[in-house]
Amino acid sequence: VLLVSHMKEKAEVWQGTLALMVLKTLETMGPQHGYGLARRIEQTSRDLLSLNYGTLYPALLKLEQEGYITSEWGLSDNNRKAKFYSLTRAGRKQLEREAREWHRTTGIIARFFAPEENS
Amino acid sequence: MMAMLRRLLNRIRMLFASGRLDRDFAAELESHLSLHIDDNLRAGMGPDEARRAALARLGGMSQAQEARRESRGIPALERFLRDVRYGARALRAMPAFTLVAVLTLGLGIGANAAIFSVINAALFQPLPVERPEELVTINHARGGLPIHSYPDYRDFRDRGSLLAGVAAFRISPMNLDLDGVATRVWGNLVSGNYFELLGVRPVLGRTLTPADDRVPGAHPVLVLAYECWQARFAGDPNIVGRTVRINGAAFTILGVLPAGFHGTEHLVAPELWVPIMMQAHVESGNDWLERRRTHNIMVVGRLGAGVSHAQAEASLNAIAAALAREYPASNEGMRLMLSSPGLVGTLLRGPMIGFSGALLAIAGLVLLLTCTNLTGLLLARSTDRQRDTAIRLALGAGRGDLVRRSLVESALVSLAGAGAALVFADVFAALLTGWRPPGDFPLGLRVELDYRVLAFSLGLAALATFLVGFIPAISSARTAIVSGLKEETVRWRGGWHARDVIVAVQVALSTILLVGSLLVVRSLQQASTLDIGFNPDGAVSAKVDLGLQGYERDRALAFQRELLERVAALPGIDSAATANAIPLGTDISTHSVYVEGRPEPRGVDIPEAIYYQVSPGFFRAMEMRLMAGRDFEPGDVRGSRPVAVVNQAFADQLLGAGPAVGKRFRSGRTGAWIEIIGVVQNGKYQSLGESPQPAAFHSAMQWYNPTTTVVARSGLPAGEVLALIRTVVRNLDPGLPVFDDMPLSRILALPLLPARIAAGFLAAFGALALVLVLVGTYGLISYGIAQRTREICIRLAVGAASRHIAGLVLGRAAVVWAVGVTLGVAAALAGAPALDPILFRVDARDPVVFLAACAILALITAAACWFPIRRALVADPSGLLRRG
Repeated sequence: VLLVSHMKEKAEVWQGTLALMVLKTLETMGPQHGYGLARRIEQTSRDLLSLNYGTLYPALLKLEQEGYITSEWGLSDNNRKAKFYSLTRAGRKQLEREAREWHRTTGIIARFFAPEENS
Repeated sequence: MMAMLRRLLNRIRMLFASGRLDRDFAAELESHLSLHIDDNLRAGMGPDEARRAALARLGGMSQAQEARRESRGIPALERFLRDVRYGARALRAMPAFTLVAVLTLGLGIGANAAIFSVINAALFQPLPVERPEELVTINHARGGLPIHSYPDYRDFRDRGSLLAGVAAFRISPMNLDLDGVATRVWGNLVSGNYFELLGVRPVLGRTLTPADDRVPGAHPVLVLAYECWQARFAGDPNIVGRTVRINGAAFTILGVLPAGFHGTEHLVAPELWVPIMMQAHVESGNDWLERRRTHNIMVVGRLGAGVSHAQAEASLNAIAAALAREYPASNEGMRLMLSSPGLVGTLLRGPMIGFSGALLAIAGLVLLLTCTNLTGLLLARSTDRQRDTAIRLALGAGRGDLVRRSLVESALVSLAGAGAALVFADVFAALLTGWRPPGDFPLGLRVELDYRVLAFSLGLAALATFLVGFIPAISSARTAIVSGLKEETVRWRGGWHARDVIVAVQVALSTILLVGSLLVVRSLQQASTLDIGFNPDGAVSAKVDLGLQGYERDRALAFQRELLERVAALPGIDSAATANAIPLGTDISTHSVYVEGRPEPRGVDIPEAIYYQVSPGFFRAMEMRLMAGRDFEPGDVRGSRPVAVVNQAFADQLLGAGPAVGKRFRSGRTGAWIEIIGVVQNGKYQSLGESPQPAAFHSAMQWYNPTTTVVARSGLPAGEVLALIRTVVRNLDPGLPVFDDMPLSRILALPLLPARIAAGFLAAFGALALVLVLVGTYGLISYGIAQRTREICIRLAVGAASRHIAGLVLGRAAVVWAVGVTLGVAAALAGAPALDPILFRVDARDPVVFLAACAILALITAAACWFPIRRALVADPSGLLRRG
């Protein structure tokens, strides 16, 4: 109980949406390492989201296994060795699909909460 | 779908690259941390704080790693691989145990695989012909040799049976003349449609066709077996069209058959194939193509499409019935039966299945025994590891994990055992393929380890895995945490420890094996005292075939007379004789018997007698006792009154009351009467187990036979006598091959072969069983004592008698032993009759054998108990107590 209330301060990332965020971020920013991705996702959410960095990497691995992203070792801006992820062609398609799906879902949910429709 | 497949492939790939990927991931986390720390430092934190904060946000490295690993490979498979690694490590840690386990299992599975490979070769491996499953051999419904007359074969072929085709063949010896030296080889006389029917295509030239088999005596052609072409003609590529001499006449080689084709019978591998129309030449002077009473060819047929076995058989029997009506004198009562080819029709098939089945059962028992022994060893180990197991359980290992781990371990041992078994079986197969059975038949059986043998061995390994691993697995899974940590033992329901069960099973299995081996050994002992009707010791025999060498009658008779005179005149020869064949050899002939003054028998009721054509002095050289009358004399030649000596069974069964000497019989419905001049003792002629059969001995000077066996009795070593005989033959005719030259006692090798094989197996397995029982019981008792050391010491300390303590420990062993022996005796009583076919004059339920087996086991068990008990009793109680 204590733990839960403690973590209520920031929204948790839903299962499944993290992958979408990763793909979208890679699309807009180009190749990026894990830490950079994490920070970027937090910034995009205007720090409303608190990402457990430990869960990011399994998600990245899963995406890589599915062939949506590829990875490559390279150097970061401040000359640190880091693994850079980039979107593949399959990943781009998957992002389009997922985005469409997301818009549909949010649209449906939004309609439930729209005040003027039939009550 | 594609994504799923891709993910699976990626996972499998990653499974095998797990080490590299782990390192890669560690580096990635390291890089993540450095980047984060850099940021934190920039934000103004101190170095320690920066690192702590970064680590906290990452959520703990090991969790991250674990979470990642879970999603990486295939957890179940990975767990399995981990178990395998763990098991391999555990086995490597105990090399002695592992070696013993693998070797014993190897022997256990190997014995089975070896026997199965023979069964496989004889029963399951298809013949190398087209659609081999369609081939059938035509047998007589009454059993016996599946041989027919050539006219009968022609009627099977032409009178519209439902078989798609039938072909005739006869296995026949021939003298193949190579560069002036004649060698006796086995060939096949075959009908012209033989190769067409089998669908065998030559590798060189052509095979025989119906056009090569039309006119008697007009087709001097042959085809060679591949192996003969390689061995005798050095694989000469220009062999087609070459002529060779067979029995003195030129034959043209038409072609070479594919490697591995040995005709349709497993027991003889012929080297050449000759048209059946040439039979009178190959078997000189003996023309049987038109003789409906001469049964001497085998017939192989092919089931047509859509025709069942039963339909084809019925159609053949319709022909047989017609033949019985038309030719009652020769065919009355004729009934036919179809069987698979390969083992002389039904003649050897049943015995082969029975015998090899019995051997397989014995080998199965041995495997069971080695399995129980390994179970005992593993169990002892799992008991030793009980504390370890309990700790694992306490730390949260699942019981399923423990069972799995134990089974994986025994699977590793079993698989290694199966590997060792295949090596053993391969050696055995090589030995067997190179082995020539007694007698001069080249074996056509090719024993090799094909996929069936492999599958069989792997199946046994899987079985062994469960047999070996199950009890220890259950036992470790049933470990109670608290008592396990206190190192108490698990007891089975009713107070029986798993170990007791194992020893009881071992005692039972050993009882069975011991009874089996004692029975066979006793039978072999009996066989050596068996009255076979002649004395095989101190005599030799050697053969020449004058017919194959092209001798005509008068020249051959002169040769036989000269040969006998010269051999008899050799220094050191006590007696000598010639005959066409000798009893218990592979050459057995029978003729019909019509006795003067008795009603004429017909069809299948015509009595038959085994017959031999012998020279004067034969009975003396063989040491056959003459019961009445006289031996042949030099005056019993062609033109004089035909005479014969018969055996006691002939006199008793065929002649009726009154003295035999002076009565007359003949071998056909017509022909000259033969007068009986003497009666000899009964003997064994075909097999050691047979009951007395009628036999007739004719004068070789009156009834010519070109096959000549010399028998000589001498005090000299057999090798010397044989060398002398070979010299005599060479001086008479340098080109004449001598074959089957051997001490006469070797004639017993073939009839005793099954019993000897069984005795070898059973004796080896019985000895193994005894050692295993000894070790098992020893372990049981030692262990029992070790468990109760404390109790025994206290009892001794308060003044208990040693005798009482011994009783305490032995009591348990006695119960276990008694249960084992009872089970074993019951099983042996039920199973022993399976040995009947190879037992001579021994009852399969011989009480002496059973008692002896029990006594031996009791002795072994007692010996196994004695040492641990003695050690326990002489031990120093106070010292043991302090340590315990």
